[in-house]
Amino acid sequence: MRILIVDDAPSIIDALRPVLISLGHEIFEAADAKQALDVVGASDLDLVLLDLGLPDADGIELIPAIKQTAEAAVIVISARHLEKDKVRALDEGADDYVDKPFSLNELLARIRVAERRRTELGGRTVTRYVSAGLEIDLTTRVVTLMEEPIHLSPKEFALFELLARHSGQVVTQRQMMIAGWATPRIDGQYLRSYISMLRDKLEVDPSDPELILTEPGVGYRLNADLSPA
Amino acid sequence: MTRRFVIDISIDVIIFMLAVAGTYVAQLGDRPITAVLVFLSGVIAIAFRSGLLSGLVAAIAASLIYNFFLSEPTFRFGITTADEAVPLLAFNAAALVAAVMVGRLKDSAQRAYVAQSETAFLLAVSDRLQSAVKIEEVEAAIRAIVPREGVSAVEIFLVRGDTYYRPSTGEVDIDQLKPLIETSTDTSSGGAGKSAIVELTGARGSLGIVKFKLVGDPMERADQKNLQSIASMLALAVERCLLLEEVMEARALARTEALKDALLSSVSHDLRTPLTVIRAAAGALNSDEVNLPEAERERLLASILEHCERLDRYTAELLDVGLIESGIQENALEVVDPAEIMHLAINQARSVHSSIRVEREVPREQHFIRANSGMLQQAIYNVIDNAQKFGGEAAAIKVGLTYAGDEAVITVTDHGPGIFGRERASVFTRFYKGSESAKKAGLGLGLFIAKGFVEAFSGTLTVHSPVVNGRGARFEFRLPLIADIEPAVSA
Repeated sequence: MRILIVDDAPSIIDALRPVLISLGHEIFEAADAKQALDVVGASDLDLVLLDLGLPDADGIELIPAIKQTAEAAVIVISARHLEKDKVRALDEGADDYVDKPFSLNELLARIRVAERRRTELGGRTVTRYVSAGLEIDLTTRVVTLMEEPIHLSPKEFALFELLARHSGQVVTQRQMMIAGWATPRIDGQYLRSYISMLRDKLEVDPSDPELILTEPGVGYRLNADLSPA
Repeated sequence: MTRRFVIDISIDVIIFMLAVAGTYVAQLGDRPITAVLVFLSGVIAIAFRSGLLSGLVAAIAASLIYNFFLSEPTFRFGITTADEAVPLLAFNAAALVAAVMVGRLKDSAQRAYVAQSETAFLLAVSDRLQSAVKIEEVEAAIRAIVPREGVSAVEIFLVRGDTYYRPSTGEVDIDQLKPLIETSTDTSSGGAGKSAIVELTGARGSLGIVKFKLVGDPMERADQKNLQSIASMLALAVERCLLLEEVMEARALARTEALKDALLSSVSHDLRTPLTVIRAAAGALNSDEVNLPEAERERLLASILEHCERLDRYTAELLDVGLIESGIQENALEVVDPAEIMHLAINQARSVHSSIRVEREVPREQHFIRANSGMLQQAIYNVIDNAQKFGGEAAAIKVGLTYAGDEAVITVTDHGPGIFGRERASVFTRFYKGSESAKKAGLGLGLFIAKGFVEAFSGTLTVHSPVVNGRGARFEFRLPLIADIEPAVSA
């Protein structure tokens, strides 16, 4: 992939560059918002690793421009760990986020998810996602767990479909509400009860969820390696 | 009835008697016109002295007496001929008109005088209250104008929860004033302790009460109104002071918030950056899926070590700030030779910045100061480090020590771009990073720490810029010398 790293600390870029190059990626660098926009306009990027604390702008403001110009995936790298920043970035169109200091394996996993989504979204419409033990068919609206069909209500299915489409990535509460209720202005309590109903049906131990993970203050993440089939 | 009132009446009666006597004498001398004029003059004098009511009474009395004693036929009321009627009627009319005119004039003059003196008094009160900035000053401000008009003292009590407290003395009254408020509306009953209590009412409701200690006679209604006006002004002054205090508190809070913000962004950015580098680099070295050439592995390892050192430095700096914030104890101080500490700081700078150029100037004489040697070395080092970061490439840094009077003066001079305008005041601020330094690593704490340490040794740290040709900055430490040690100690 062609990856742009935007960070005002050159030491972080220095540490990431050799790793990503060794994994076969092509690396571009930017130390501030202005440089970042220049690179976004000039290079055909697949992914931008975006630090939010830039000296000349709030990194969140770059996301719409990156999405429009380059259609690249955006993984936000945040140092302040403020939920409202993460939620704003995701709602602006960022695909995922990691907190500083991130573990390299975690970052590489997120990069792989972004890469997989780019290839699978390459033009064709996906109608079925599968992973070990879990299958979701978007046309017949059937979810199969351990070869056993699970009955989901229409709203439960809508929420699960969104999580499945973004499997491995975080989905904000707002995005879930729009998928389930067509408006972001519903009581968060509704969303929470639907999530717990989904967990009751899909988790081995609903009190210790391993499939539908909560991202505190931000949203939910489907912890499954779903791939289109 | 006051005594003054009785005296006034008596004077009026005496004037009236004199007028009657004068009239009688004139009548005896067969000068009726003079007699009438003397009588009229008496009435006018009374009206002038005592106002409309007294004037009217005098006029009627005069009319009766004139009719009975003086006008024909004497010693009986009534008239017999038209000739007798004319002077009597004329006298009555003249006496009445004169009494009314003069009396009214007198009354309005009196009212104007009272109003004017009241206004002047209230203006004086208002002026004095303007000067009060703190809540405890309000009472002192008003105290300068009372005692006046039966008020011997003023005490202001403010509501605080269920109690009243007096800001000027700090004394607290637990609710015992509350029942007094209800009974205070009519204080003319005199009674216990003779004080009038008026509620202080501001824009946000009741603020408290003001207690006027009274002397002498119970208060007239007008005086009570006067107290109300004073109380309203006191309420305004009290409220203004309360608002001022709130504004100050809000500002102080904003400053703490700003500091917290700076701390948060510093910790998140400056501490997490080295952590991120270390974690990512270590992760890469430890990873099975990443295969790096040997040179890259060496570089990542070096980077880990470098960022560990940086983290250690930042942690030390944050601890130093904590030390300054919590106050440096007197027993941490010792007798130190500034020349020796300066030497240590220069050596430290040379070991950190291998390319640094330092020119040293030290006097021959030896004096001592009270300081903590480690902290003083840190302070001097921080300033040299700052000089190297921003002016070290241009020319050698001059570090000098001189003794001027009872002070040791240590200067650190660089030939960098200099520090100008607002930056000069800000360089010593916590987490401050200038426009140039924003790009460089560091928390922006070095100069703050240097100044904080030196001030704990009763010294000062200042900056002067430019030094030569519009460039350069000179930081100047001034530390008080201690009296020279007795030679006997070394003997």
